Amino acid sequence: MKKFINEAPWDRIVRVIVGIAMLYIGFAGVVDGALGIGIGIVGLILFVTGLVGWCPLYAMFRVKTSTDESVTTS
Amino acid sequence: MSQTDRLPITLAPTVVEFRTPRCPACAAMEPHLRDVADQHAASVDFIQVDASSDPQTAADLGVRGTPTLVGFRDGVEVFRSVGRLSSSELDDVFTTIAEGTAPPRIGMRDVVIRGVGGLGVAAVGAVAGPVWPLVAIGAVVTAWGGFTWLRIR
Repeated sequence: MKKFINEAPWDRIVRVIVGIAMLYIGFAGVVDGALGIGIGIVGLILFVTGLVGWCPLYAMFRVKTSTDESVTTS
Repeated sequence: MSQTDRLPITLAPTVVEFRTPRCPACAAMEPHLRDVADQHAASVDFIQVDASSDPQTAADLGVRGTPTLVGFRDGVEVFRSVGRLSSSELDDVFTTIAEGTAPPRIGMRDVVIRGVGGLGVAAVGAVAGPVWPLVAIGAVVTAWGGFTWLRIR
């Protein structure tokens, strides 16, 4: 289902970059064991939420970094 | 005949829900939708249309599934959502229609973020090993960016 975008562009870019870095740390063997897997999973969540533009935690707490745009009717 | 001639839509902010009696998602959303509609009754008109008994109206508005919410301002569609929404999302919809603002829509920005993000993961995966799961994730995300581009263009 289509969710609303609740992340600002800067928020999404930061999530994608940090997510890729954490995926690398977690799944490329930089950090081994459960900690590495945990970092990788958190990175995957950040990465995906950045790509989608919607954060479930934001929605839960009714927070958003995005700015609503005017709707035009003309 | 315009798309909305069959509906009692005025220039006031209006939300129209297309539903069917046998739609589980519609039934699950109904109590929340009623509550939110009541809360915004002073500023937003709310209309429910049974798409199974009035298929022509649904077809006129291009409704392909239920529940579909369509928001109008000044008689013009400004918002559409397909599928079940939570109570807070419904509140956002009605606030959006009442205030005349809306969350950003999927656009070229999403294509760039998904495309570059996917290529980034694939590149990191290829350089570091290669780590095939990362390469696969990157390929899927890049393809997703491509589909997004096809959808919006």
